[in-house]
Amino acid sequence: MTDTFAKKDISFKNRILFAVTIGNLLISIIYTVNSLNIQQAILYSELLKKAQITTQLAAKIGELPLITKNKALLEAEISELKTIPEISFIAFYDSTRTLIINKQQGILPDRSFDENYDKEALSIQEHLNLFDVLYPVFTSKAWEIPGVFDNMPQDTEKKELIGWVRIGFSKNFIQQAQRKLIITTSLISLGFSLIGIFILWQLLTIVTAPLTQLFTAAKNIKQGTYPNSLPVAFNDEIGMLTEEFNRMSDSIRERENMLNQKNNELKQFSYIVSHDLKSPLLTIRGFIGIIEKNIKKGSMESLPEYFNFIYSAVDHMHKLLHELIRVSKLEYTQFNNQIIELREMIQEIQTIFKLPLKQKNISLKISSELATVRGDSLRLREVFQNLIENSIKFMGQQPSRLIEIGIIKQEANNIYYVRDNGIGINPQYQKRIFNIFEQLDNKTEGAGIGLTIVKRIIELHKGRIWVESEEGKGSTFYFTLWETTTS
Amino acid sequence: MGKKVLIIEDKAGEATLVKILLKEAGLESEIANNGNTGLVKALELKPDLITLDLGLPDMDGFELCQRLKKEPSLSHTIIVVLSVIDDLEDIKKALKAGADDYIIKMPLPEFMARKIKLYLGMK
Repeated sequence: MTDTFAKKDISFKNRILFAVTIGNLLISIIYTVNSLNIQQAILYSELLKKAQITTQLAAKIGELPLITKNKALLEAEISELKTIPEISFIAFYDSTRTLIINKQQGILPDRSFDENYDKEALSIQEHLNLFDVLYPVFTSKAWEIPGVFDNMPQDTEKKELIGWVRIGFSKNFIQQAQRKLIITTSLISLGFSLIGIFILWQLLTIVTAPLTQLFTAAKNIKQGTYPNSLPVAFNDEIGMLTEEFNRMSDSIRERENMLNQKNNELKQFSYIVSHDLKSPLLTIRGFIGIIEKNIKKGSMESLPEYFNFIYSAVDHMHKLLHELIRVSKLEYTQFNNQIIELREMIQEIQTIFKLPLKQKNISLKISSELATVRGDSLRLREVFQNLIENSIKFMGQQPSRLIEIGIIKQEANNIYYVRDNGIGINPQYQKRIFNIFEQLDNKTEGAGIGLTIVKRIIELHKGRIWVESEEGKGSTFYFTLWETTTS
Repeated sequence: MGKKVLIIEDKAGEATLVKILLKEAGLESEIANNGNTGLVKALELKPDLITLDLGLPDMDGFELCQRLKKEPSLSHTIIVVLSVIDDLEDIKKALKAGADDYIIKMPLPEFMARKIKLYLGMK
């Protein structure tokens, strides 16, 4: 037999764990990537917003120093802005696009001004690690407009480009934040995965425990040891399987016990048969030798006695073989399952024994409660015939002699009985009486096969037979037919 | 000096056969045809050797063997089981019950008498 577990080295439990862990990992990766995207979008938009506000603020701050062309003032004004951590450079240009100030070490990235010319709008260029934001600085010259103090409309305000402010916003912070996010998410995923695996492992242990239990029990049965009924925790599929397994185990055990019993009976049968058949052969062989010697010596007087021993041994053996054939016939002749009127059948048998019953002054009482029964009528007839014959044979000499045949009605299995008030059976023989060729009293005829036949017939009717007896008070043979098992 | 043998055997043919074979070998013997008679006769005769059949009608042969062995007055008696059964388990059981030997009856009955004589020191 191949071990089911040997086909794949991974157990059911590990396979589930493996699948769940892979699933867990995939979900973690998808979740992390998604989070990164969302976070990146948020951080970008925040940085851009910040860039816009900061650049516009810088333009406002730079307006006065640019008009006055005061470089020192400009530097002082923007030194505040330099403390903003995302800012990597701040540069100012005058209206001729000449760089006035550059608050950064090294050179600025290349930038064209064309498209931003004269437009009061932010121009953002994205580089690998920074956003390059350019914004024009205007100044309003409202006082140059004629009639400024009388009903001056707002939209006639005159603006003049005086320079540009250019600020670089580093993406480092975004990259750092993202790195941090990846690490945090990974750690959290790992943690949850480990906790998940642990919980799953525990759960699977609980779930697979009954399966492991079933596996061990099945293995035990294979080796011949029967486990006690396995506990059923839940009424689920595994619970039902366990219950079914328990029933199966019980029935296998029952069958094995029955088989063992039958085997023992068979062993005993062949033991007794071989013993009883060898015995007369030995006698014959022995006496032939003795007769031969006597003839050689010429002494003839004992020969008739010796021949008699040989004759009776041959007769005995013949009888044994005849009985043996009767027993084996029980097995191979066809079993006719029919409905039998028990009372009628026993009354018929009674007529066969009319003479011996009368001679021995025995009354036979047949219970009126005996009704129909299912079985082989010829064989059941033999049962009652043998039991009645036995009762007559062992009736003894007491004055009121009685044989009763009746039934004890029960819910499950009715018990039939044949009772006599004869000599009874010594307790030490009660077990042996059903054995083949067992003959308790050597003086009575019959090889003692009758009760063996009765027992075999009852067994063919799926019943049991037993005897209760007290010496001097009588015996009762009980039997059942078509027994339904109690479990 | 007559050595006495007790044959405990229920089957008349076999008992007689053993008796005749022993007689031919120059041994006197008596027959007991069941276990209880065997026990009584053993105590009465105090035989030098008992041949014991295991399949007795009234008593288990192994049990009888044990009981005979326990009798102080039979401490010098040799007990030989005579049986047609050649089952090793039976032989072991008989020796355990105190039998001095186990002779399988078949197939040469004459051989048995020679063996019994050997036990009794009469070659």
